[in-house]
Amino acid sequence: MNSFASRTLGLSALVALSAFVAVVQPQLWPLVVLGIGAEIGALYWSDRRWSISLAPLVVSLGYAHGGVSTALAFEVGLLAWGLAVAGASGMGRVGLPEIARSLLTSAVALAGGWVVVAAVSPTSLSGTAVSWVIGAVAASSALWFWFGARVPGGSWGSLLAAGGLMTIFAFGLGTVAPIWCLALLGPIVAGAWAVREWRRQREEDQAILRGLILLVQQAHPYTGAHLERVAALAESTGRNLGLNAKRAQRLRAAAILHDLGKVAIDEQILEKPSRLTDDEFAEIKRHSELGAKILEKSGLYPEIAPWILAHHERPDGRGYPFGLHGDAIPLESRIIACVDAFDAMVGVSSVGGRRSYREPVDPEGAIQEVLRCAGTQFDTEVVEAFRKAVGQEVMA
Amino acid sequence: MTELLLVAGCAGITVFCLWVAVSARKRRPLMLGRAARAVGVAMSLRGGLVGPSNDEFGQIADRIGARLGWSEAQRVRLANTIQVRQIGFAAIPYQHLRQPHLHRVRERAPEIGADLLERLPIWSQFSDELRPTRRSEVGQLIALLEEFFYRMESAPAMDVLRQIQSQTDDRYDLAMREAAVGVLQESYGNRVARPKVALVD
Repeated sequence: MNSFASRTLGLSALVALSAFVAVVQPQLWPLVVLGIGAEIGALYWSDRRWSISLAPLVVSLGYAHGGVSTALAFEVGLLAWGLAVAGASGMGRVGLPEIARSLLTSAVALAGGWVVVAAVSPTSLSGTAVSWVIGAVAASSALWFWFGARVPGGSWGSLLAAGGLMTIFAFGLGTVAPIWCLALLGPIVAGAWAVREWRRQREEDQAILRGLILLVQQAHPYTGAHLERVAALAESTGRNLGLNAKRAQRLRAAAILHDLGKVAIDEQILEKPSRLTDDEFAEIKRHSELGAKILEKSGLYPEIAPWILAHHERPDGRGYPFGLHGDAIPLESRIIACVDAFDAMVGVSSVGGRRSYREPVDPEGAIQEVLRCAGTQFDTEVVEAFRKAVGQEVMA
Repeated sequence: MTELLLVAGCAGITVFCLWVAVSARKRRPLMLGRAARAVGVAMSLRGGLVGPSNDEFGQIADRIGARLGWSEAQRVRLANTIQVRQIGFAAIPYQHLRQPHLHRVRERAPEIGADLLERLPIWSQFSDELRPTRRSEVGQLIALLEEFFYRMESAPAMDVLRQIQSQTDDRYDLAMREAAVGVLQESYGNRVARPKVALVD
């Protein structure tokens, strides 16, 4: 079991315990609060889509069938169950396309709501069966978000829609007069606006990265194509190491921008077909500092500037610019270093893609070379995750 | 009680969603500005020795914009255009940017940059500002300042300003020319000739 799954399961056990206490001994609220805190922590580390899809469902069903304490027990218990499944299955990192992963997540969330409610309150079984149908319809109508957004986080919107509709249904079943459902208009309208703004922001972030890639590509054609390949592989490697979606996205941005500094290096040196002199090599070495400087001075993604600065450091301390050792090198830099070196060996798949000073190596040979350098040039744990990522890419 | 919880829950979710939406809305122009600045810094590093820094250029331009009563949106557009105006350097060989006898190559940068910007949806709005035949007030002001700083490298500032003031063509709007000359005179009036400085250390 990987660290992500064990961490999730551990937190889930704590949350489940809190739920049990809340049901058996309602006066022990502090423990419930602790459970919810743990739940929030788990959600932060895993996939926050779960919270959006499950929370409205379970809270509303809880209110409808038994008041606040039941609602909280439902919420905590169901989220514990959901996180356990997510952690154990490694969902979100399975080798499926993003759309399939989103559908799978949504389906499991909906089925989970049905199973848990049926187990805890068999009398409401017919109602939850209907809620399952509504949820399924909501999820399918929300395909617009998946296909319209075409961004990895696009499924948030669909899950929000599914949760909202199920909330309305649950209140219809329960004790609240229908007029109060008007209160749901606020979250629905504000939620739609939030999703739209968030999508636009994501699109513009992507456009910014594309713009900067084009900039590098103009100055140095090899580097432009190389950046896109490295970004995809670095993200997969990061996910295999248990990085959450947000951090993996940042890693992707860092991988795209890791050679940005090369725009300020003479391309005659970058493309020199023969061996570099010491001065020329020293000039090329400046690119990691220049890239970090561009981001720091502009304020664009300042959090990734240190990763770019250190992407040529080595665990054995023989890297540059500072000669850092082991864990002193940020994990993201270690990932980029490994993927960058692999692509530099194989990188021939696009026009102008071949580096001028050496012949390309076949992918298997390049992987063997990376494995050979594990522990010296590359981080051992990263190399393992990288090898899995390459395997997943081949499978895909 | 249940009704109260319902309203409170909905209000909480609404506030959260509004916060997400407003944050995203505020963040977008901020990110655009930073991205433009990243282009500006990158091109300064690539371009080598010429003219004032983007910051200095931007401050002077903003003062002129303020004197002309430009709106906040127009001044933001001005600041961003200044940052991306040298994007054409990316497509000019590094050595050519550093050899004075190849200055003609460097002069093609705006045209090359406009072509590049047109390919990028996020910055395509700035491409016209770099083309002499299509630029708006923002592009005109940048062109005027470029002319001033370029000519000031070989002549006293006051001479250059007098020449700009006496121009009779319609390259620059008359009011803009007056405002620009006023601000430039206040800032550089006593300069004999501007030495070339490194844009970014």
